Amino acid sequence: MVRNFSGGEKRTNSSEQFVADSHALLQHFDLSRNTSLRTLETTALSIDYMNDAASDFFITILSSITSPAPLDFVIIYRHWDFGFISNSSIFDSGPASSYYYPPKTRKDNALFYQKQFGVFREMHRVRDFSLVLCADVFDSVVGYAIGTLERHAKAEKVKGGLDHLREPLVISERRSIRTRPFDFEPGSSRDPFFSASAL
Amino acid sequence: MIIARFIYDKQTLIACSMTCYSWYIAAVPHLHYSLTIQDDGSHYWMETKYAWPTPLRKSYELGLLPLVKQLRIRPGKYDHHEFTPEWLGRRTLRYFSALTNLQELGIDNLQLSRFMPNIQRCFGHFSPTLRFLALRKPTGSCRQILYFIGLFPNLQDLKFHYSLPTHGRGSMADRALIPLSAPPLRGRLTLARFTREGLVKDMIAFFGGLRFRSMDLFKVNCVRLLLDECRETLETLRLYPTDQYGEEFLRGREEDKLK
Repeated sequence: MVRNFSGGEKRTNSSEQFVADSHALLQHFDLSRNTSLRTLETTALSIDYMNDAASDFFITILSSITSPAPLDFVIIYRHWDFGFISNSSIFDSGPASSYYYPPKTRKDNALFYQKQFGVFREMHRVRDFSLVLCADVFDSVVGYAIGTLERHAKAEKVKGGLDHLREPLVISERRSIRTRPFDFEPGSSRDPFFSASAL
Repeated sequence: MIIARFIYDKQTLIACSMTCYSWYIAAVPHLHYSLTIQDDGSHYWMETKYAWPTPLRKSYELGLLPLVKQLRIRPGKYDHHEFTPEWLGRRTLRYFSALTNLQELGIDNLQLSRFMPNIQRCFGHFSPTLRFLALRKPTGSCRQILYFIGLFPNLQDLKFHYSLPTHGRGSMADRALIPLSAPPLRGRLTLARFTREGLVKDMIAFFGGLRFRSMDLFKVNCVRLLLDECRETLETLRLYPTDQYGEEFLRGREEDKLK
């Protein structure tokens, strides 16, 4: 069963039929031939919009996976997803230069996560996966980020909102290469704006 | 163990290195792990090739370059600051040859066509150790880029980052360019705003296919080709369907949030 972007469904038996009516995009992301995929990753911002395009995109991709191997679906939450914005923008330069902009009220925030779990449930119906909520944030806000994700996951579980989706694993992990704040240049009093580890 | 907790904290590392000699020995490799050389315009009165590699020179004189694992070359702050052979004097090449343990190299605005055919003389020093090559807005034909990649026989990770769709045009002379090696390229492939399908096809043809285990794709026009090529090796795939910035500069995203 493959969903297309217009929300309809159609039966399909082979990868040749894997064509959405008006979205050539689906042809590009067919994973039916892949035999080794273990992890599918995306950013919370990609789910954040809560529009059909984002959820249908992943539903379609997941439905195309034919490999029976277990799959982790990793949602990466960065510091701005929790309202933190760094002073230096590019570098994780710690608490001294990070600001907190609470973007939503507590109620709005809870609603945001509820809706996200709704999307995850819908995705899970087409392909089994283990949901991993990954906080890739400043060291100084790891505890806050993990606590926030765990709280909302637990609230969803209590409400029975996880459905057949297993309780998500909440982790704190660098999913990208860790950036050193600045290079050290002997004899220089100034730091270069860019660190070489921000390659 | 203690030092390992501070490897991203420069000030603490400096303090550790001044504690005693054994702490210095433990801290100094982390302190000099990454190095950026860029022209910040402060040496405008000097000829470019003498002015810009000041960090390299200082580290060279102190014998620290073998500790550098990551090097980023930024010819300037803006896109029109291109990295050409004019930036490389004999002295800079001598500094390059002291980077004996370099594993990650990033170059912005590399003008490959200007380096041909003697590019090996400029970057060949890094061949034995380089594992990760990151090119931000490189220009040149597919064959020229391929030739450059082929200089590094142990390359595992590759990153191309463009701001706009780009297509390189090759010349007849480029057809004679055959990569000197076929790097394994079994690590991570990161592509941002990448529209050079011809380059991917050439990589497949000359390197005997692609075998990346991880892919991070943001606004890429040849996803189908990449997924097919790596269908037996790809373990991790990262996509950004509605994220307009991807993994690249966080600046834009954060500035938008501030607005």
